[in-house]
Amino acid sequence: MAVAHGAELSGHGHAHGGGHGPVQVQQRSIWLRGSWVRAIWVSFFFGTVVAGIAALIRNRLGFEAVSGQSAHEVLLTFGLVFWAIGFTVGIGCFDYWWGYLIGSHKWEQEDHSAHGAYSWRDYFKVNTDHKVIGIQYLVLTFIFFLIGGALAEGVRAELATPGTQIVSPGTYNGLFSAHATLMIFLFIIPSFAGLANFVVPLMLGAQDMAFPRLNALSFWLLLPAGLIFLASFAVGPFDAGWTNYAPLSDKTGVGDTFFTIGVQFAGASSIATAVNFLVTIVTMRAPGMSFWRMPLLVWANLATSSLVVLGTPFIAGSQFMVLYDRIMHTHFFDPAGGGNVVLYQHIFWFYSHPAVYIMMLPGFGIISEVIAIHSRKPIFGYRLIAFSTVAIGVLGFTVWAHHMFVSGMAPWLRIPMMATTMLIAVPTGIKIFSWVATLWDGVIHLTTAMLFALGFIFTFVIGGLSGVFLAVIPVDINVSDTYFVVAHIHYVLFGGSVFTIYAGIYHWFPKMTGRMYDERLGRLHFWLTFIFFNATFMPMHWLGLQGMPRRVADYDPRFATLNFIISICAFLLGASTLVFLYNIIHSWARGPIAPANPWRALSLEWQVSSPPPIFNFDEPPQVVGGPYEFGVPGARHAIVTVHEPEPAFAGAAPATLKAPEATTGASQGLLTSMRHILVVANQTVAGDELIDAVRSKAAGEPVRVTVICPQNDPSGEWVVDDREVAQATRARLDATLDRLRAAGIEATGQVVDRDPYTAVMDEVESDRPSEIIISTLPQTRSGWLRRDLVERVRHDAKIPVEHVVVDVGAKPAGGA
Amino acid sequence: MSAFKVGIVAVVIGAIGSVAILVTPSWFPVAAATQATRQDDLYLALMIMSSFIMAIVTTFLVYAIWKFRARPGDENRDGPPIHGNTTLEIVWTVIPTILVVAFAIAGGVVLVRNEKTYKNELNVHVIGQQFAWTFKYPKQGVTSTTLVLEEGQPTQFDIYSKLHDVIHSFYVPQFRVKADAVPGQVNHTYATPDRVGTYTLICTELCGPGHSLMRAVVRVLPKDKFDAWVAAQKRLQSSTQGGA
Repeated sequence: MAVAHGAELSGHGHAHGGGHGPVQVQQRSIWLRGSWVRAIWVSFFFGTVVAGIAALIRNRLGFEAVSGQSAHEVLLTFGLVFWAIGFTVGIGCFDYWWGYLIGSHKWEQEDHSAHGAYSWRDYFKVNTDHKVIGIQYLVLTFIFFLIGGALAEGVRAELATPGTQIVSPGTYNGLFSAHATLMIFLFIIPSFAGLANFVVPLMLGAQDMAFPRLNALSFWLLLPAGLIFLASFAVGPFDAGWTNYAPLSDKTGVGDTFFTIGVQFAGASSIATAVNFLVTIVTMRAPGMSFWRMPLLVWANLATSSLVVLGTPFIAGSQFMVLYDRIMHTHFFDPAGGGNVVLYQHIFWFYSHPAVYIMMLPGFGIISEVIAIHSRKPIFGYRLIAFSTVAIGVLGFTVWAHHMFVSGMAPWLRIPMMATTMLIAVPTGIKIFSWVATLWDGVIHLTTAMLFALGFIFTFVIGGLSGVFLAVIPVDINVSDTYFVVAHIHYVLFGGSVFTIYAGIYHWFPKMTGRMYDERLGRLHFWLTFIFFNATFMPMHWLGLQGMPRRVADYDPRFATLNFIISICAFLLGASTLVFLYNIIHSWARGPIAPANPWRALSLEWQVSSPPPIFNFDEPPQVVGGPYEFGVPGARHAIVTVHEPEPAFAGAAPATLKAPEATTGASQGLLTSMRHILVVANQTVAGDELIDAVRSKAAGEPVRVTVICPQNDPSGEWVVDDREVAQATRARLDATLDRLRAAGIEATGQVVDRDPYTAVMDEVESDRPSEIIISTLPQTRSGWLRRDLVERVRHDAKIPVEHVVVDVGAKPAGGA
Repeated sequence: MSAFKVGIVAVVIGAIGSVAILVTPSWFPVAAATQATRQDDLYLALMIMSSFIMAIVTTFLVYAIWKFRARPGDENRDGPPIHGNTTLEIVWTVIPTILVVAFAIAGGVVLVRNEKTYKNELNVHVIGQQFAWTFKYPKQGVTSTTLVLEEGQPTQFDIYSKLHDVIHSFYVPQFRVKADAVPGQVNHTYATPDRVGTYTLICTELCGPGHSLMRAVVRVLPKDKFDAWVAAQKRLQSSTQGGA
């Protein structure tokens, strides 16, 4: 495995061995290749054809084919399911598997053509790079967060005054149902999956997830799921709450069908991701990464993924049963047909309580990372925190019926459910106390990520304690289904999950984007969120104690003042998100360049460049210690071999911090009036495309061209010590120089025995070219591209960089 | 300040918080049943425990942030490499365990006492439907849309929804009791009203567009007035039946 890995990296685009035959890149028509155009037509084609067949069968069997609620339900069910499947097919999730299935020779086992983002467009395509998928997840889920937030503002607008003013009670029920559904299934759960997608493989020292194509499919299932939920507003939204309790869900309008189907796709996405994480974490840890050396975020995702795999099929089942009740009249939950109403709640909560931990454990993992790193101390009680994570996961499956203390079950059954529920407070408390103990005597850097982590501790203790209240049966009987519960879940899911998501986004933002966010705006965002979050949800506890029920459009006028204040605070809380959005978008585009390791962290994701190279690690890292050994002299978590020294890797090489001098040099360097172009190429140096590119630059004005052919790695391990190769390169270079001179361009060149990055940067330092042309083989075969050469030069050289692709084709020059 | 002193400050703050909790005039609407008083006491006990836990966590948190914040010159400094402390870890595992077990026992005791049944208790059938409540008094042979109860009389509510209806939930905030009205099954809840007055029964399970308006009047009457009400209802019903 390691050998294959090395060989691939040492390739630098040389066609090593026989595995990498030339790929004929046939660009099929946009209608036929995986694209948004194909996604749209295939999805609607699938949807209409299958719905049409269903209508035809109904007609043949003598049922009303297209009119009436019953027909609508059936046609919608088939239509939506196949529309969503058609979308994933059309966008291209299945292309590779399909090629494999039919034995097409186009598909290579090691096909990395869909791996990595080379331009912003790649983020809108099916991509197998876990880092791209992670960012796709985070951006998409954040859009759903904004939509879900807007729905919540609609709810608060209606509740600002008693009585019904803005929306009808039916629409109101739809608003809060869709709000919760989007927030849970399309924001919190998948955004944790997104963060973990980006971070976990890096933390493990892996090149990617275990199943990159399944990973892409997981992501692309989310969009149809979200659109299905939102589309329900076109026919009257689902309005039975995100809990979709039967038999209300059996009887309510057509919108509920959208809910039952949307959940299937969101759930399938979740399960596929969880399987992927389990396999990745168990099998793809770098050498030396024992379980007890895994960062706590990895532990958290291990536990979470187990919960998802075991639990999520239950909600899928419960919604299938509702769907079957609705369209097939199965009577699962219809007592008149022998069904059992409370059965629904047992199945539903058997998933949906563990779901609370699915929405919380990854957050705990993030907090452990952020607190240890930003307070510069080893996490306090690493093993106990890891154990408590597992304990929460296990106990999480034994407590579901605490949601049902007033639903009607054997009275004695409530007692053990209360006991197990309260026991969960113990591992949760262990975490809280351990975090505070980690802070003690540390060196606390109040970065925005840290502020959210500290704010989280405060809000989550409140949410945890109100959870204990709700576990104590007599108190629960009093306050269940009141605003006390609304306050509790928001303290857990907003003060808990959302705060941790923010902490995670700020913490890993430099790693993901290669840029720093604005701390001042970040702090502003934190304080606005923290203050208005508490101002919005704290008073809801009191409303609940006073007897204001949840899920009501209208309420007792004596709660008017408080509700008005809550609504104002909720609007301001919503507005605070705009600060975040501005900061993130602006910093992503224009923020200062981030060093590889701005937080001086030890875990593996910080030991590679920001953003990481396309295949993460040049060699599998060797893990030699724990991930949080701050303050231990000379302690290392892992030894990472980076083939090109990375100037941004400031922590290890202080010499490279002398950037300002280089900038002064830049102004002095521009003494010559003639434009100076630096051309970097190795195998492709004689390529026509490259020559053409240089000629077109030279048309119009005089230019001076320097061509360099970097050939080697500095590590010495993979030195190309083949005189023939060197001579062939020299010959190619000379031919190129001749052709350029023939075209009247002043050209010089040399073969350099160095790695491309340092060769380019040295040339940039010493000779101050005005622009750079980098010439490489096509994406799938280029070692330089795989290691982000173009991006990194573009990033660090701060002069225009043009990338030319030369397909040397079936006859790789150099003849190796 | 040593951690021990911070701990003392935290406990003092927790104690002040507890006093504040106890002197707060109204956490709840007026208590109108013996069940309510027991729930309230349990709630206050939980609040006091929470006050101490909240105070301990927050005091240590805020003090640590203030005392150990990075100052200029700390850019490359790390904290001491403390990996844990077995005694502390045992303490904060065992004490919360004891606390939750104690509260689980207290909760169980209150539950059993709140749901105790009596021989001559009043039995009321509570029937939910979209979006109204009906109350049947089987022993008295009375049906009503207002829930009328007798002061001091232990009452068992048999709660259900009509067979083709959806789930509703029976909740009287002043009694602090609640139970779902489920189609196809009978749930029970218990209340011994101990305060004469008029209250509101609120549906607390989402049951459709009319959910927020699905309410009923609850009246608790002294024994003589309750008996008079029953008699009046009987007369009324027999006269309507006679007329039919």
